[in-house]
Amino acid sequence: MATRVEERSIPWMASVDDAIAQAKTTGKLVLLDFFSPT
Amino acid sequence: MTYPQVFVQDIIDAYCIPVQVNNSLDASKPIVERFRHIWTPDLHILDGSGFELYHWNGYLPPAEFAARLLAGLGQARLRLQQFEEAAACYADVLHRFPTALAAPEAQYFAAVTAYRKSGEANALLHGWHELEKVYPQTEWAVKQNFD
Repeated sequence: MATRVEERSIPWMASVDDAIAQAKTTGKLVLLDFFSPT
Repeated sequence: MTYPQVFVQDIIDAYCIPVQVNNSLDASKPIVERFRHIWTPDLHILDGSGFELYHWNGYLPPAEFAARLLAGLGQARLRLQQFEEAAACYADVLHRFPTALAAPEAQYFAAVTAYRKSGEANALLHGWHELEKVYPQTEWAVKQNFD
């Protein structure tokens, strides 16, 4: 039986202010990506 | 496609809280105005107060994106005076992506980081000598040549 490989994905947040708050508590930095749907 | 690449995801997972904003939505207008967003791709690195520490525009293929992101994270940590973390990011660029477009910038600021951490002028001069030797035909080699 083949092992199923889970596809990973980036856990993008949708709120910049929530991301900033999370960065403050974790010590990580926010990566903010503006995109235009194609 | 850049984001499906595991090595890109690993860098984001390790160092970042990722957030995406769809610039075509009415609900995004306040954020678009707050960051003076004008063109995609448009990437910003912010600290825990929302202050912008690094920014770039334009598509980059996966390895170039990874190197640019690490160089940006290095710059962010340097500006926060977190010298160990900055040095680790720059070393990662230079070790894993030595031919990337961001590598000369990483070499330049790796030297600045070493100097700011130690106060030793030789740390700066040694790093910049490497820059001139390894990346001579680059903007960053010009920037270190101030005499």
